[in-house]
Amino acid sequence: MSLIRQWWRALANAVRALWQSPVATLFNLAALACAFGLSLCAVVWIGSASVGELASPTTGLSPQITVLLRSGAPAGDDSALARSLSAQSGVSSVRFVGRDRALRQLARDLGDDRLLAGLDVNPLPDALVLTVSPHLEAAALDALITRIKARAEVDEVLADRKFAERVRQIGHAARNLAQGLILLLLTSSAVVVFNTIRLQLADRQHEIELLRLLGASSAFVRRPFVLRGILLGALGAGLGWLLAQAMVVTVSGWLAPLANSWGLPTPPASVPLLDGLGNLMLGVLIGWVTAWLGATRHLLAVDRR
Amino acid sequence: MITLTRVSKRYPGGGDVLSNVSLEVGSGEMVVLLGASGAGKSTLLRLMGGLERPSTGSVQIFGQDTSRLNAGALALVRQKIGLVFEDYKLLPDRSALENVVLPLDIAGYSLSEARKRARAALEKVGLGHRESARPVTLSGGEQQRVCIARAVVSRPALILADEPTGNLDAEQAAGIADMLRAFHGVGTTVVVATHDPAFRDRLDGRVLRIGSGDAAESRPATATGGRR
Repeated sequence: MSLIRQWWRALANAVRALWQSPVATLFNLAALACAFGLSLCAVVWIGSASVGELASPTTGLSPQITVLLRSGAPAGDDSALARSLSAQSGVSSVRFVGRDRALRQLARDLGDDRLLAGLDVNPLPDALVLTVSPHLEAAALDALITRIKARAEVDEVLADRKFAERVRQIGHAARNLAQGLILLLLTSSAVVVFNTIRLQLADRQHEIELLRLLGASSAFVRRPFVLRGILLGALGAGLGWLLAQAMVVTVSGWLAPLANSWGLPTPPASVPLLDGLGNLMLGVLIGWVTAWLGATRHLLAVDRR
Repeated sequence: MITLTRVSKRYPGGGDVLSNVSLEVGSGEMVVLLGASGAGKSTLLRLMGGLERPSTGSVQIFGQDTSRLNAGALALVRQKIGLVFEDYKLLPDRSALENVVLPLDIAGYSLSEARKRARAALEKVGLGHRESARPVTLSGGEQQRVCIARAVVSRPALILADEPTGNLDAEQAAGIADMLRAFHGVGTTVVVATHDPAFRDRLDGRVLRIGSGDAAESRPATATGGRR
C-alpha cells in the first residue's frame, strides 16, 4: 500500500516538475513529437501495401513482355502460340490483346478519336501480353525472350524488365532510407529524454543527496525521474501520433492518385490504430529506459562522492 | 546500539582521518564527541550513521555490521536514525512542513498522516506557527529547529547531530541543547559532535575526545572515552 502511495506521489511530483518549467517542457515535447511523428509516418508508408509492393520482389510492377505477332499469325487466348507460351517456365499469365482493341485503347489514351478516324487500316498488330514471375532470374528472363523471338509467328518482343528493375531498386532504397531515418529519429528522441532527465537530476542534486542521507533507497530517488521520462516519452509519442495523422491525411490526398496511376494499392489515408499504439508504447519504453539509465548513472556518481 | 571496533578511515589521496578507533554507544545514552575542526568528528558521526563505510575495522549499528549490508539494507538502517546537520540541509523550495515531511515520505506514510506528524514535530520545536515558511525566511536558529524536527519526526531510536550550533549564537545554541536533552530525556540515544565546550557543558553527556589539541591525547584522529 505504501509503495502505491509512493508511486502516486512520485507521479504527482513528476507532473508538477514538468508543469513548473513550461517552456523547457514545451520545447522538449516539440522535439519528441517531431521525432516520433516523422518515424511513425515512415513506418506507415514503408509498411503500406503500395510501397511494400513497389520494393518487394513480388511487385505489381513485375516485368511484362509484349509479343507483337506477325500479320496473319493465328490469334486468340487459346491459340497454339498462347498455349505454348503459357507452358514456358517463369510465365505467370498470357493475355491476348487484339489489334482492334489495341487501337481503341490507343484512341482512349490519346483522348482524341479524330486522330485515328483518318486511318484507312489499323496499323497495330495483334499481341500477347505475358506476365513473368518476379522471381525469374535476369538470365532466365533473357533466355525466355530469345526463345519467344525465335518463334515464326512473332514479329517483335517488347520487354520492360529494366524499367521495372529500376523502380524496384528505387523502392528498395526508399525503404532502407526510411528504416535508417526511423532509427535515427528514435535515437534522437532517446537523447532528448536522457538529456532532459540529466539536467533535472543536476538541478535536484542537493535534494538527491539529502534523500540519500535520510535513508531513501535508490528506487525511491529514481522513481520521480523515471516517471518524468515515461511522461515525456508518452506525451511526445502521443503528440507525434497526432502530427503523423495530420501528415498522412494531407499527403494521401496526392499520394493516392500517384500510386493508382502506377497500378499500386492505395496508400493508407490515416495512421493505423496498431501503428499508433505501437508508437505510444515505444515512447513509454524509450522514456522509461533512458530515464532509468540516466538516474541510475547519476545515483552511482552521488554515492561514489 | 553502536559499536566501533578498530575502525580506520582513509580517503583516496589522503592520510588516515580516523585511526584504530574503538568505542561503544549504549541505548539511551547522550554522547558528546568533542574535538577541534578537522579532528575527524564528522567522519566518525558519518560512520555511526552508516553514511560511510570504514576502510578497516567494523561498525555495528543496531547490531548490524554496516560493511556487510547492501545499499538497500543500509538505507533501511539510516531511516531509523535522525540526522542533524551544521548547515541544516533544508530544501529551499519547500516549506518548513514539507521539509519535515521528507523522512515520513521515504518511510511510506500517507500524506495526511505525514503532515499530522510533521506538524506535531514542528510544534515540539516551537515552530508550529512557521510551518508554511520557506527556509530562506527563517533565522539560523529556526532553520536548525526545523532540521531537528525533521530528525525526530519519524521517532528514531538514535539522533546524530553534527555541529548543530556551528552557525548559531549562544542563546540559540542553548535552545538547541535544551531540545536535544529533552529528546534524550524520553529515551532517545543522542550523539553530538561539537568543538564548543560550552555547548558540551549544557548537554551533560558522556564525552569522547577526538584527536589533537590535547597534550594528553595527542594521537591524531583517535578516540578515547569516559564519564565526565
